[in-house]
Amino acid sequence: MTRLLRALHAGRIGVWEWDFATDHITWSDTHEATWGFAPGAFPGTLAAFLAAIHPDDCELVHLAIEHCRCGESGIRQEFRVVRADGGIRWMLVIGSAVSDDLGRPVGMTGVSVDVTEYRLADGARRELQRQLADAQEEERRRMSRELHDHMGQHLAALILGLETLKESTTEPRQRFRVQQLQALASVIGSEVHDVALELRPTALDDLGLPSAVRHYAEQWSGRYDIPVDVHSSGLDEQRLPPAIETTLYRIVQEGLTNVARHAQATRVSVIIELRNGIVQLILEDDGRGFPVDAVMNAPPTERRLGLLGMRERATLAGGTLDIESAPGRGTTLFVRIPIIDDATSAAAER
Amino acid sequence: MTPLRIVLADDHVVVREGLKALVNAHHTMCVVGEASDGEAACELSRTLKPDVLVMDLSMPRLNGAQATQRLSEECPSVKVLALTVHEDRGYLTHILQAGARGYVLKRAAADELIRAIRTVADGGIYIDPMIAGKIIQNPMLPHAAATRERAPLSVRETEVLRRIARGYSNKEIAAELGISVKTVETYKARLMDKQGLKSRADIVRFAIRRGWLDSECPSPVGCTGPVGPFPDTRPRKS
Repeated sequence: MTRLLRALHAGRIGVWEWDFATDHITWSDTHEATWGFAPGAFPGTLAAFLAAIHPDDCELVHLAIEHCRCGESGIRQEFRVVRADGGIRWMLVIGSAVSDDLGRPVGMTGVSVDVTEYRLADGARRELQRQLADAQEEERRRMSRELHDHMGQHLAALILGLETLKESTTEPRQRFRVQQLQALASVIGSEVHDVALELRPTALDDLGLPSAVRHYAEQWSGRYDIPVDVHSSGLDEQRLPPAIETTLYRIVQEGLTNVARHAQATRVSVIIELRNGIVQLILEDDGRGFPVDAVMNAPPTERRLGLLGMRERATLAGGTLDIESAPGRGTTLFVRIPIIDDATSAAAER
Repeated sequence: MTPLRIVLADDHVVVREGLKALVNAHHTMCVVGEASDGEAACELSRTLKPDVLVMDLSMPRLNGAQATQRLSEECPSVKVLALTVHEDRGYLTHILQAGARGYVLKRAAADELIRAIRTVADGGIYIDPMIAGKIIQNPMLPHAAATRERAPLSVRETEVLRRIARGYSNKEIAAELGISVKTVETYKARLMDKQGLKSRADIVRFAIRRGWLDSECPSPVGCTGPVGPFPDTRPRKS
């Protein structure tokens, strides 16, 4: 027993037990210590337990407890605890219901682990990831502009110069050769445009998300001969924050790539709507679908990595990505991102 | 016949020089002014009143679209021909809405540009064939979705369709209506078949035509945000 206690101390793991009959909660010493209670100070009531939880997380914990109490599921929840000294710690609580011989729930038991460092590291990782994504996007933006503004313009000048050259002679063979060169320069212009588009469409900055998505969908549709139906609403008057426009654009790109690779679809819908402070992107195909849970829990495949990448993008932008699919039933992606103005988001960061 | 009077606006000197040489080589037209930003282009157009203003889309101080917008209000007699490296249809729509009469790619053949200037000066509209071609061969052109209701919808069917149009997932619809996800899927497939709707986007438009999205109705949950009724931000379509 002492060895176990030593181990719990070392790991800063608290043990808890809740008896429904007496409605009393028992905490180990380590539990009190990690939650910032003086030894023996925890009165053993649910109210005292909830009082220690950060107000914003209280409802979440309450719900998790209720689910567990009904025997629906075990509990596994991360939330913030406000210690007596005012310090905020992140706790991971894992537990499950305890049943009597007849299978009736009589209590709950489990452990509580301080995961603050992990959460902070995770937050820092996300921040780095966001910066990395931003930097990559910025670089692509710069290169795309460069291609349009410099190469594109010089090519235009070249084509015009060749025209002057052509007009300076009446010799048919020479005129024909110059014409061929003009055509070549025009092809290069078209290729420069395609490369710039692949990097980052200037339309995304100049005209906004719906226009850029429409154009990309058109190109994609032409390439794979699959009709894409784009619908957007609520975005004619209002532009989204640039980072969110980028996120959604990249998800559309990745999503359509997945459709081309796996779906065998005959039709695709892309719907972008801003309503009630939430922008929702829906990408739906009528292809062969896939077993979502099986694929998402399987070892990494190309498709799974693609989906995880999209989800990561959505998460970094403060949103969610849900996948609905089944074999033979097509696939639908739901991306939802709340649009918060800068003041609110700054407050949320703190 | 007096030659057409042209003003060129482009911030790239090499392009402008090339354009000038090209235009002046045609005795039916001549360049009367040059500008390297949108402001200057407007100013020159106001004072010189040219027949055609050939203008780049991306320029410093007042871009092409803004300048076009201003000119179409201040001196509508000046026809604007947009000359650009942008091949996205979005730019075309945008500049035409602003009041431009033509759209030519910079990589277009030179005689294309001359033809465009003439067409625009004559009061016509000129779209570069390389862009126009893209629009026409595109399989995405709005397909005539069923506009008439083929069969009446039951209350339950309406409930399901409305929520799909609102952006609910099948799971969310199932939870809200107390039916299984499978049932929702079946409803959806049957409804699309019955109404001749080919895609989810079709469903959304079908709902808009019926005014279903105008009324207040909760948006799907799934991420945090303000809750409760909300003003519909969709453009009203009849």
